[in-house]
Amino acid sequence: MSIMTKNIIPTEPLLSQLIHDVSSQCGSLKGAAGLLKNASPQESSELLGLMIEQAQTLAEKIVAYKNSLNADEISK
Amino acid sequence: MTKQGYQQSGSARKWLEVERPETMTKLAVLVVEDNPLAQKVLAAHLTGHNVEFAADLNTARQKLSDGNPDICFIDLKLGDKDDKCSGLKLIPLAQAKGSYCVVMSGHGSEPYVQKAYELGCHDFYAKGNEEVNVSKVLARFNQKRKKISEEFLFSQSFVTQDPQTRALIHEALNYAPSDLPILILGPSGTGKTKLASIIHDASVRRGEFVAINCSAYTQELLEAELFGYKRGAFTGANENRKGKLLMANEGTLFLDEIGSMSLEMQAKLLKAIEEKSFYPLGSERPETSNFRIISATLEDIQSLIKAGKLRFDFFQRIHGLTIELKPLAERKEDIFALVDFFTRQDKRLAFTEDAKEELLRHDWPGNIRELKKLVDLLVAGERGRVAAETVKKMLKTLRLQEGGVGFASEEQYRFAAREGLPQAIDRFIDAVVKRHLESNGGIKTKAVKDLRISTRLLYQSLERSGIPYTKRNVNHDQEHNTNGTTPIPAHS
Ligand SMILES: Nc1ncnc2c1ncn2[C@@H]1O[C@H](COP(=O)(O)OP(=O)(O)OP(=O)(O)O)[C@@H](O)[C@H]1O
Ligand SMILES: [Mg+2]
Repeated sequence: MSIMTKNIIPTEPLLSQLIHDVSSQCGSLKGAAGLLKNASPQESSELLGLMIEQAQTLAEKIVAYKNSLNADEISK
Repeated sequence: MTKQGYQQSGSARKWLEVERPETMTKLAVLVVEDNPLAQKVLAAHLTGHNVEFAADLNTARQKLSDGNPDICFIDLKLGDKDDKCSGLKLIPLAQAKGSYCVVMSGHGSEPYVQKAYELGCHDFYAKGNEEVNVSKVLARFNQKRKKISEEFLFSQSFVTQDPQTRALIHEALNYAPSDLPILILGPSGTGKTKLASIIHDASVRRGEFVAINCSAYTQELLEAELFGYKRGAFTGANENRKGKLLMANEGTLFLDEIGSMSLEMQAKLLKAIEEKSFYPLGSERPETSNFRIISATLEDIQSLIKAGKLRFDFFQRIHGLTIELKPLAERKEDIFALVDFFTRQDKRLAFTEDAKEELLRHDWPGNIRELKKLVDLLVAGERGRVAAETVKKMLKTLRLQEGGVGFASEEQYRFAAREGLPQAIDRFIDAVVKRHLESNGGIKTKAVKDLRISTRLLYQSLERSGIPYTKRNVNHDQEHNTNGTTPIPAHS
């Protein structure tokens, strides 16, 4: 998505996608955190694994978005 | 309506479950969600239900076509690149399967929620607060299902608009999954057999609905029919035969016309019910069978007991819940709903205003069965709107048919063939006398006069029916006594 032409406003769909991901994935992170207290050791390790993975993916997406903003700046 | 203690067993069928505590309702749920963590969270809030997952459109399509979920949770946006919210495509499929369709939206998919409703989704929530939202969805689903099931029950199954009858049916169905015996009372053609089979269907018993009309057999044959027999048990027993008790294993035994069962038979049956075990005729090996009893009679149950025709211990055993169905004349608002129901597969019948009044005026002695026969006649013969004259004519035709073939009803004929004509006549007299007294405030002089009987005949009948009386009450009237017998003075 980093190759953008001038007649498209580049950041909007990307930003919108990011907001979608952050809001819905934070929602499930919160939901999962709520489940931890009553989970068996096996369940909680499985949950934690998924939570960590999700948090990492989110962090990567944020970095990617930041990079795309920078690339945009440079191309101007 | 009365009930005794009961035991719950099994779970009720889909449309019934709403009547029972939510915790007992196990739903089939399909969750269409691409995010594994979100799947886990939903699964946790749907614990206790049968939950399946699909992470993409194709899997979801497959699961929808293979299964029949009660509820379908659909994430609108399936995958990062799914700008068009492909989850929308699943809504018509879920709807076609009769699923309660819930869409879950996240940021960016809100504009599609309106579209989802247009496509037929039933419910929606914004992702992020599953704990609260899922339980709200389940509550709304149960609410809706309750309404739908009620509509179905009273418009397609046991048709009635009468609030009192509806309440009775509800009560009966609440006990459908239990072992509680049910006794259904009501005049001929009021739907006793129909209700019994609806209760069985709602009971989710594995076994069959096995009906037996006790008045259709001699006592020996009834015993053979109920308990079954071994080859050679009696002359004519050329092979082993399974009895109804065994056929009803894990199902329902419907005993119709219990009033005509001999006291001895009642005792034998009572023993079999209590011990859940019995000996087929001519067999040394006991059989076991586990069945639920529903019984019915059109006779007055208290008179049967008073007259010693029904053992009290047997009665105690079978009347766990007693449902008394009203005659159609007392729920005339049901007439048109029933007409619609009986013509649902044929062309609809339309009546002129006068014809409608005629239907409402008639007193329907044959109850719903009579109405059904009338509808059949009209559907076969009528074009256009049915006029009052036609209704009158057809009702008369039906009465004449009854007079020809049915005046001695099947039941009366069998009874006479079994017990002898004099016995059958006594029984007929008793039924007429009793009905007359009931419909005329118990005024005996009126019964003597209207029915043109002697007071002796009246007393004999009251005696047989176990109805208490003081002879002084009757002012016999010789003028109306046209049957040739001499009325007996009260003090003689
Ligand atoms: N509420 C109802 N809705 C639809 N159909 C009904 C209803 N009640 C009765 N019927 C129909 O009317 C007919 C007579 O009903 P049913 O045989 O159940 O009456 P019954 O009380 O058992 O009569 P009987 O005392 O003669 O055995 C059947 O065809 C039945 O399907
Ligand atoms: Mg019946």
